[in-house]
Amino acid sequence: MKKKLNLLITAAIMSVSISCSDNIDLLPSDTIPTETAIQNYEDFDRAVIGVYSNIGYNQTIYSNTLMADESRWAIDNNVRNYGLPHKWAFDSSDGNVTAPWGNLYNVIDRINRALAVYDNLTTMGTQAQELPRLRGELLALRALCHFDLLRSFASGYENDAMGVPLMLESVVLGKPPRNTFGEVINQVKLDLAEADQLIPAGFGDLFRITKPAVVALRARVALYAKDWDEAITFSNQAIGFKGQLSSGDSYIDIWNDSNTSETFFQLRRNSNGGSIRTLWTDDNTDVFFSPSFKLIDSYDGDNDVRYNAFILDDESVEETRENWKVNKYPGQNETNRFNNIKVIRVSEVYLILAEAYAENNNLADATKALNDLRSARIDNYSDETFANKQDVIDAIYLERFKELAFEGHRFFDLKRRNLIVERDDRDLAFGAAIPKILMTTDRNYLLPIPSGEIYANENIIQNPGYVGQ
Amino acid sequence: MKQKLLCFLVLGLVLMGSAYAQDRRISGRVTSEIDGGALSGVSVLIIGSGGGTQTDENGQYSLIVPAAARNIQFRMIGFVTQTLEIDGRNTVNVALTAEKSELAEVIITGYTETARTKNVGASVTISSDKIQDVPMPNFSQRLQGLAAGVSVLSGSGQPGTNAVIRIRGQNSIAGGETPLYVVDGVPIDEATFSTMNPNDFESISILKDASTTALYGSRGGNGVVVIKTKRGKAGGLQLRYNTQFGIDNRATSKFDMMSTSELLALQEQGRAGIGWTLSPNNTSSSIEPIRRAAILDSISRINTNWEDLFFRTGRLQTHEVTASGGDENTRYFSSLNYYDQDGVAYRSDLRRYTFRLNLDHNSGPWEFGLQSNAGWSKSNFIESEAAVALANPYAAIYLGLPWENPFGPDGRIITSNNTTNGFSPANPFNSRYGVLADSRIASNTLDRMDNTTLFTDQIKTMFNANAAYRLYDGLKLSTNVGLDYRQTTQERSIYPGSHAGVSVQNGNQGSYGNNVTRRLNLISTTGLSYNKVFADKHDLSVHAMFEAVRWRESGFNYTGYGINPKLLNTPAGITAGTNTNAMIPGVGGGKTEYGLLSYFGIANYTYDRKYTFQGSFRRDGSSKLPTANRWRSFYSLGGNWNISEETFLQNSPFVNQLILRASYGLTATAQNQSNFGYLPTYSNASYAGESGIAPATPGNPDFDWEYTRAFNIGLDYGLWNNRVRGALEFYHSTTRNLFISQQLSMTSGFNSLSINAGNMLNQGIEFDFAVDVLSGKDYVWTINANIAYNRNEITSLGQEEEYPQGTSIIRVGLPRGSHYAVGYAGADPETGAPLYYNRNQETGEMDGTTTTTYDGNTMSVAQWGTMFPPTKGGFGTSFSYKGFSFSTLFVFFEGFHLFNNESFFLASTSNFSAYNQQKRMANAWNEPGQITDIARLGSQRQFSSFDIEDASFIRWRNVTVSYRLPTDFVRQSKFLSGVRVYAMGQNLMTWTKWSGFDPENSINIHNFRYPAPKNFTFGVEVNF
Repeated sequence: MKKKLNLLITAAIMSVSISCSDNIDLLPSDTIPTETAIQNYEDFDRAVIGVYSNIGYNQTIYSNTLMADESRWAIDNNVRNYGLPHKWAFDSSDGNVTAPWGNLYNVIDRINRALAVYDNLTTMGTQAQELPRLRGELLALRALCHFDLLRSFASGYENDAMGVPLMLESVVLGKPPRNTFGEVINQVKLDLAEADQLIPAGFGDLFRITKPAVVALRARVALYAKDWDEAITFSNQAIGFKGQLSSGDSYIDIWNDSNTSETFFQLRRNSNGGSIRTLWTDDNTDVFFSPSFKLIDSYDGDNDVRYNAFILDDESVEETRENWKVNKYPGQNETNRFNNIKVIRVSEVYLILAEAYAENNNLADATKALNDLRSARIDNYSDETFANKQDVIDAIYLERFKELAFEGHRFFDLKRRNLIVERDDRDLAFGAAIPKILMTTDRNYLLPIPSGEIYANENIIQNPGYVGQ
Repeated sequence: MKQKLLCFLVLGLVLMGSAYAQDRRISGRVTSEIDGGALSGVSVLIIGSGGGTQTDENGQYSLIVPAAARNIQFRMIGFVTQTLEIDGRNTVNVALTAEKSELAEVIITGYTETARTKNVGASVTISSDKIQDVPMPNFSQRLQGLAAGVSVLSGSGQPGTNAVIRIRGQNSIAGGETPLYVVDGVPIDEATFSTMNPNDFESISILKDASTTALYGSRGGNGVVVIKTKRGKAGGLQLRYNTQFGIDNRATSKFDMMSTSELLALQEQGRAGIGWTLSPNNTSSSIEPIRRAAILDSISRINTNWEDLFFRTGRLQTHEVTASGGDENTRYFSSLNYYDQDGVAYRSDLRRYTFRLNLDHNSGPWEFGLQSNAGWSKSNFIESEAAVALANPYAAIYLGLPWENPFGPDGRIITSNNTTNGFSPANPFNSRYGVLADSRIASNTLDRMDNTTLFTDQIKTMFNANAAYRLYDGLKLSTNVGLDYRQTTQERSIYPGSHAGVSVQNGNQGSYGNNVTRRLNLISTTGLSYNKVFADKHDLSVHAMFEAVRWRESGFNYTGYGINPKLLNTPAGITAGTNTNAMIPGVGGGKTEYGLLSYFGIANYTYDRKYTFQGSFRRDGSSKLPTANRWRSFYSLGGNWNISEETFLQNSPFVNQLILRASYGLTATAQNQSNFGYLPTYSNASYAGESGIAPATPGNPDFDWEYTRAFNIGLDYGLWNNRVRGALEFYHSTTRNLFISQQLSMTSGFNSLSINAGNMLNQGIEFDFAVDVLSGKDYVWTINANIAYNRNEITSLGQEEEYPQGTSIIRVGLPRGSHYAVGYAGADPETGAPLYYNRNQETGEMDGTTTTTYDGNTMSVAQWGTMFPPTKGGFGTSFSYKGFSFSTLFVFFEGFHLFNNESFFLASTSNFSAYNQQKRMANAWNEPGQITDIARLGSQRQFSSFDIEDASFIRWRNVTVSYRLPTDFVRQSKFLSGVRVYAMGQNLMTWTKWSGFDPENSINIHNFRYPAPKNFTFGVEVNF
């Protein structure tokens, strides 16, 4: 009996001692405490990858295509998809238009957290020489994010218009006010200029920021800032890096991702990254948004390679279902239906160059840049000449509409010149109550700062027409 | 083991000092007080020696009693345990009274068992007869309406789904609100309830006040549900077979949907959809008028009844064998159960096998116990339940167009896939000039039901071993080690070649996914207990314990693509992923754990059977808190005045029991909090095939528990020979440090930060009542009822006043779950535009003026009530006469509103072109001057008060009729000792104003959930 009792007491004592404080001093196995997350070169490289992993450029593409006149409500759209942006009937709680805010600031925060430890990293061997390039990529991405936030949410594209908060360091409990458009542009330019210095020309990974991409982005920023001389300089420099325009089948190959000769920077999308195509056409063949008839009719269907590259008239579907489909993101092949997102391409730079020349009243060079692009895209094209500056700019705008459709430009382009959005009557036929014209004074002409931000940050002033706090 | 230990405490009540004398023989007869009949199988135990015997079939017993023994105890399930002093007698006869659960004699807390007369807290014990054989696989559903102050709402009618249990209102905003569940001393998680057999449970105790929940310290804040499983009784083998068969029917839906001609007319009026495309009035159509007329004529003849295609009569069968028995030293209880249910929706079913073995052994001062349970269940569920998704059959039947004919001439389901998209074999009826005039909404779903699976396979085992040694007079050392393990495998197939298979983004050839979760929970509890009565007046019970809990979870999942059509439902059918085929399988998983260390003590002292004082203290150390906050203390204090023992009531002709109780204490809710919520972290990320890291959580160095201070005052009463009995409780509890998801400026990189900031109040009253209206020698008619009212109020939110959350709001001064929406004012008679009430920005309420401009941010008001029913309860009656018995139960939930998101889609001025609509849509505004609730077709449908409805309901929950064949008749067969036949009906009728599916819903927003079915069963129980 005594023996059994001793056994019991021993067991009890053991169960007590085994489970003492070790039992509650635990650390997570699946996450890394922030304190020790970024310590050396490899960690820093991983943090840079982590930045790329969350850039959701598709949201910028979505709001542009839904808001503008390049898409039409398709027959199969059973209402649930993106109705309010297309009908210009959203308020500041509509995530479809406000999503870039949260996404891009998250990316900026990742960048700032990494930059904050940049000076304390340990390196081995030649790693130290690679660090500036990584820093350059982060700065360029910070510029890209700030710039996209600005394009989406600024109250106007003039220097004194309300821009977006500039975030240059990570602050968890901050409530930053909006900077002006001009202040943000300045910082974007500074970040890009430094990135331009830091990234060596030899680095050529198109899924990451390269030196040519930085230069091309500088041209884009200059266009929005209306710095025509800078736009000309950087456009020419970017074209110098990647000047060859594709034609015919090789142009088609850009869209199945097998030809990257025109691409400065693309975001990798694969099975784990989501498909951009499904905004317009679902995988189950339902068509939510079709190319607008306004866009379809703008092409010379026989000679313009872009017609077939971007537009599909699917004759296999029944007459009561949608046959017009966006073909710009057809997938890489029969089974891989994902496409990388082309953030900036050479043809955009040609059009920036043309527009900047035109604004500087250099019609000859403007016309040349436009004709260079058109002759690459259109068979049997003969150069066009223009009588005056406005005609060239109108032609450049039409060309941007046609060349850059479904890539996230159209709505911003209209806003750049304060132009209304006007849809063709035929593009209103499907779906209930699709409106025709968005005036520049309509509140939905400006995207709202998301209501969640207004709620949490009383220093933010909401765009006109929406309710602030 | 707890139970083992605790049984002994009860016995300790009457344990007296020892005296030396001769061993002697005592005999006697045990009868039932109800009919005076002999009771066989009653355990007769000698207190203090562990010896005992059982009564024979004539109720007779005889046993040798050691000289030291002073008391013997008579125990039988269903009867009140009686302990009698031997007092020198050689013959001890006793008549046992049937147990009335409203007056259960023992309060089980999991660590202690306390006699009702010494109890200071509020708890409800539900005995097995209340939940036995109810044809629901999950015990949580069986508790509805049985306990005052315990809200049980089944979330879904799918077989095996958990009910949501909330004890005394809502205690939290962003933290967990689920109670702690403990089976035989081992905490278990909700996910495994459907893999346990509720017929194995002897009792379920629901601990409501701080004196009982503070024993669980940081985990007791939301209340505790303590389950004790059945144990064997000394005596010969008792073998029982029980079987049950039944059917499930759909409770009739209230939606009145349009027919083909009605919907076509609606679409024509609204100038959108097929009805307009094909309309002769549509001058802009590109289809020839004659062709339009032909198609219109063709589809007008179709009126598909979707409900018939998606639903069936459900089916249920169960088989159960139990064996129990043993002798004075060793007892066993064992059960085998098979449960098989097909739900009313195709592809919703559950099969379950469970096995239990409980062993108890005592020898001299030693006690050993083992409780073990193994269960396996396999279910197949519908997809996207409670989602506005067409994969959800409950959405598809209503949204589906009445003119969709799902089947082609060859009997195959025609889906919306066209031939260019890899649909194989190609669909011959799907060409540009084919016959389809619709978007195949419900046909796609029907095809999806046939070509997808959602299997859940669950294995659960529980082992609990315990030992105790009586060291000294009244002093006992005990230890308990428990293990709870579960493995859940979820398999999800989408077959290639089907509509769903083509829709798989990665490769368009179906997918196979597998998700395995393993959870292991270890607990060890060791301690000393001391029970003694001094000088016949001072009754002392003290416990000191040490406990350690370790909980681990790991999961692994993968999804593969490109499924071989001849290798379905297995990973073997997956195509290997390459760089170019987009079929690279998705792989994921993770591990996590937490640990808890605790020291605690409880002391209960009663003076002269009249005055009881109880105190408890617990110190918990948890890995979930930052080091600075890691150790936290909890306590409770309580008292009890047994008024019926006072001299002025002792001889009262009608007051049998009157006990006044009060308790106060501090608890917290730790069990549902995230494991490393305090820590700022990075997690894995990847881009372009490379591995990266990204910030995952902002962390909160001040992370702490949500603390609840609760006060309870209660009264137990038993009047007129206990024919009227019950309890009355009043409570007041405040929770502080509420987790609040503080919204951050998104410039921080995060949307929100979990902080401890708010305070909440819950106060309420609970009343429990039973009366034996008629009571005689062989009949009794009882009426019982319970009702509870809870008032919840958020009293502080730290630095904020409110947090809007979609269609609800968290605001100081309002109860949790308050709706927040724009007031709807009907259609403008002139234009038909929907009108909304403006908000007075000063008062925050509607100002009576209307506008056509909708802005959720500036116009929403919180004048629509709350989603949590403040008043709830149950009432019923039972009648028994000889072998016949009848009982029925009604439950009610009163004073709450829910958001009907179904009507948002089914009565929609902007969705009518695509989906079928309710008949009331015919009232849509059509001409100036028309006064109607439904706006002009084509106007934008918005979230508004239009969809918030009163969901109060009364439900006829259960009817049971049973008949026990006369014993004499049964005995003639030689091998049978009892036969009972019974029939049950569940969910027979519901009275409500709610216009949707089923007002019984555990979530705020109704989204096409699987409603509770009506259910009828017939069963036979045979004892050998």
